[in-house]
Order: sequence, then C-alpha cells, then structure tokens
Amino acid sequence: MKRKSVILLILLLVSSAIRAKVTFIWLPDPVLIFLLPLIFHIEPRWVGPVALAAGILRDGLYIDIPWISPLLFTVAGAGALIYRTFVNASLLIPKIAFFTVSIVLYYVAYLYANQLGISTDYLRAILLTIVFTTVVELWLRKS
Amino acid sequence: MFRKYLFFPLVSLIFFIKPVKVFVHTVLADSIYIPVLKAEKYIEEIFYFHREYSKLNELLLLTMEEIEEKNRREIYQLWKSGLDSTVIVARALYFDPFGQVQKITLDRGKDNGVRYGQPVVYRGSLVGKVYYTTDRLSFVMTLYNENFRVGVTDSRTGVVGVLAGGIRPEMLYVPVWADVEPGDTLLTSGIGIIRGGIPVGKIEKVEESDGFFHRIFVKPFWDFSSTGLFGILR
Repeated sequence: MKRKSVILLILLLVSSAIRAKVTFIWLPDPVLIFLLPLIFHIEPRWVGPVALAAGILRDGLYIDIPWISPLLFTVAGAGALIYRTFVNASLLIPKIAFFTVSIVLYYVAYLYANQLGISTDYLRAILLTIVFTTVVELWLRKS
Repeated sequence: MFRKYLFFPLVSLIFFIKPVKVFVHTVLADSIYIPVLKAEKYIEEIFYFHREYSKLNELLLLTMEEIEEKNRREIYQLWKSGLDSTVIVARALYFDPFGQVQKITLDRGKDNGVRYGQPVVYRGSLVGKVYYTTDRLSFVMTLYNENFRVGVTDSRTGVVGVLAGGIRPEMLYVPVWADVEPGDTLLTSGIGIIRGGIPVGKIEKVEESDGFFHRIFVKPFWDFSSTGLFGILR
C-alpha cells in the first residue's frame, strides 16, 4: 500500500507540472485522478501539504490566471479528512459519490473562475475523470 | 479542528495575494517549469531535425537518381554517336570466362564497320583485339588470352618488344642490356596490325636472366573486374 501511495504521489506531482503546460479539455484531468484516491490512503497529516503542492504545481505556470486549484484541492483534502473521520473508508459507493461531487465542484469552480462556458468536451472530461478516479481507487484497494 | 481541516485551505488563500503569487511563480518557474520547457524544446528540436534529415535524405536520393539517369543518357548518346566516328562504341554481351576474361563478345559487327585485327580499348587503354566478326557481333581476344600478341614499346626509353598475353602477361624479346625498369609505361608500338600509341600497361617486375632476354612481367591498365562501354578503333 505504501509503495502504491508513493507511486501515486510521484505521478500526481509530475502530472500536475505537466498539466500546467499541456491541456486537452476533452481528456480527463490526471491531477484529480491521482489526488482524490491518494488523500484517502496517506496519513492525515500529509493530506494538506500534498493537496497544496499539487494545486500550486497545477496552476503555477501562468501568473495571469486565478490560482484556484490550491484552494480547491485543500478543501477537497479537508473534505476527505472529515469523510475519513465519520464514514467507513472501506465503503466504495459513498467514496465514489464523494469523488463525483468533488470533481463536479472543481470543474464548476474552474470554469467559473476562468469565465468559460460548459460544453460537451467538459462533460466528457468530467465523466472520464470520475471513471478513471474510480479505477485508481480500485487499484489502490487491491493489495 | 482548525489545524486539522482549515489550516491548509486558509494557507492556500495567500496565493491570491499578488506578490506572494509572483514569488511562488518565480521559484517554480526557475526550479521546475523552465527546465521542463527546455526539455520540451529539445524534444521538439530532435523531432524537427529528424524530419529535416529525412527530407535531405530523400533529396539526396533524388539527386543521385537524376545523376544516374543523366549518366545513362550520356552513355546512350555516346553509344549512338559511336557509329559515325573513328571509334566504334560497343557494349559487352558476354565475358568468357567470367573470372579472368580472355574473350569478349561485343554488340557491333561487320555492319558497323568492325574488321579483324582492330584494337579494342576501355577508357583509353588496350583491352585486346578483334579476332572474329559476324554481321552484328564481334569477338575480342583480351590481354589475358594466351594467344594474344601485340607489339609494345617502353614509353620512357623506346625499347620495343612483344607483349604475350596470359594470366600474367609478359613482354618478350627484350635483350638483357635494354633499359627497362619496373613502373615504365608500355604503349603499342605500331609494328603489326595494331596502331601505335595505345597505353597497354606498366612493367611490374623485371627478372634478371642468364640468357639473352629479360623476363618482364606486365600489369595491364585494363582491369577485367570493371566493365562498361568498349571502344573499337577503326
């Protein structure tokens, strides 16, 4: 489990840096795919720093755009910590619901902050992100 | 409660302050993004040069094909014009034997003016002489044929002799006091049916002899390993 978490952390940081440069709006967001399952599987004290670092890397290349990812990721991290405190972490369906809500909220905030309109490309990206996040979660559970 | 859930979301709010954002951006750009962008540029350059290399390669191949085509055309013109000049240009049809050519069949015959005894040259040096012709073909006995004989002279000293063909051609009937040295160029002497002045070969080795004549080995200029258009001199 620890090894998988380390792999996921590396993937998260690398994909955050790459995602800052390369953006395909119809593709799922790799940062969310790696971040959301990871914040459920690492120690609670690392959730905040990891989410913050990923958020800064995600938005840090362009100084002109609003940096909302650090805030949204850390809020998602706080939500995950609350989830871990009050809900059984082994339940899959509530966790997927949490992922879905987080991803949708993230995209809504992202589109709103960048003054972009919703389109089928973004809907496809949201759907694929939820699917791939679930796949990564299942991969993490399989140990 | 505060430390566990709210600390990092509140910390993230400071990135909305412009100077903090600029500072963090500068640090990130210097440490992460600029190296990544440079790496990206290098990769793009590699692909660019690869594309350029492929294009140049294609261009080079095209140029070589054009040159070959031009050569072929020139050779054809030469072959065609050879009918009317003092040199009859001919193509080799058959080498016999293939390893060390002693006889060559050419695609010009009596109809083109080829006659018995005419010398055959390849790039200016003697190959042999015509020993038989038909209407459309001629047969050449080369320097490597044991029955081949031609009068030769040393271009340096004017010493004359007879070149006897064979696997290792020899210059015969040169007296022991004659001035011949390895490296001397031999030309046809003009004594006999073959005209004079055609380069034949170089003296390779001169063996001392107790008798009346030297034993001289000759290396012909014509190398049977190369082929192309032959010229038959009228």
